[in-house]
Amino acid sequence: MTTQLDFSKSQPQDWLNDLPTFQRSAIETFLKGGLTEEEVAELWLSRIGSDQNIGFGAGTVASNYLASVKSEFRKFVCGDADYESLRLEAEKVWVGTKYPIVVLIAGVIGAKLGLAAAVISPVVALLLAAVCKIGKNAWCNMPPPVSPSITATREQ
Amino acid sequence: MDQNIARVILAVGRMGPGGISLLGTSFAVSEKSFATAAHITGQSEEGLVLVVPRVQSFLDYQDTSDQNVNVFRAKIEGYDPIHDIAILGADVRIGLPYFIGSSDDAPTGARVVSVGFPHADAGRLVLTQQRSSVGARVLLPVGTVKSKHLVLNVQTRPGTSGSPVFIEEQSQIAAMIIGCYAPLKEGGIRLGNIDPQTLHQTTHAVSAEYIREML
Repeated sequence: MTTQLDFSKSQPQDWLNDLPTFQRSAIETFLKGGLTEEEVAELWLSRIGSDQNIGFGAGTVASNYLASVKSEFRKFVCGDADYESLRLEAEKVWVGTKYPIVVLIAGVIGAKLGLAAAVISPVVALLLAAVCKIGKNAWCNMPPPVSPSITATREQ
Repeated sequence: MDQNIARVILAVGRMGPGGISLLGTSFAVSEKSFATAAHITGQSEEGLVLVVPRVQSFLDYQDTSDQNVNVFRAKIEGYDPIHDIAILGADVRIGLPYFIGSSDDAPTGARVVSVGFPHADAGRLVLTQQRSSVGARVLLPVGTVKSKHLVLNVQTRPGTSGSPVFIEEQSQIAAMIIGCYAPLKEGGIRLGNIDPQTLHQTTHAVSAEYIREML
């Protein structure tokens, strides 16, 4: 039997409230500026710093992992058998403060994709807020992202 | 400047099959954590390391022929792509010989000193001081979020991202180098792996106050 996660008793903002202040304030500014939760998630994973700057690190390229993160997140929320143990674990702490759930999910998806949990925690929180806003059934019935891909953006 | 500062400014690298690739500079911001630029680490902490300093003081000669290094494993504990900052955690214990301030404390014209590892892309591991001055204070946008930066009158090279910027004669970090100005345009060329757009003295450093907010 598949564990069903209940989003009906939370508000989208509940998933963002307990993020660290530096993340929450930037995310709130983007949302107030008219971006959707998923657009902010994409920005978080695809951009590093201003377009007016070329970074002086040695050799790293900023990449957009949103499609990959979203694909794994969809499996978790929409009932894929691979994520049943994570859903069971999440269900135990589902009521109450949301940040521990965000960190738990980010840790598992991050480990699967080779991404740091600290990097994708706000992305997971934004996706949870998006599901909460639209409704789980509606979100799961939306067309899935095009095959998981990594898109290189401007060289840093 | 305290010459012992060489003990707490570390190169960041990534372990791969062929050894360690140097990526840039980091500096201690608490007992167990270091700040660097997010574009240095990217989103993955796999193989991420901090290189143990090879000198105890800036007064020491740094042996450029010595390619042996010791490293600490590092984890990404905080990541802010909007301000281009990553906080790395490592299993160390460090005392800070400075405090983390803000670009507000470095007015235009102020003399500053940055400390980092220029030419790290070529494997060069030489901790280097660069003296310059603040040419301007600017707000750089990412979408609707604008952030305080200093424009430094100095030319920097790959490896200096993540360098702390001190106000001269003070134990205060005002900013962290993240790169240089470049007009956004499609295409472009590289000569000898150098982007000609970066050959100028308009270095950008993000205000250290955003680092403080992450701690």
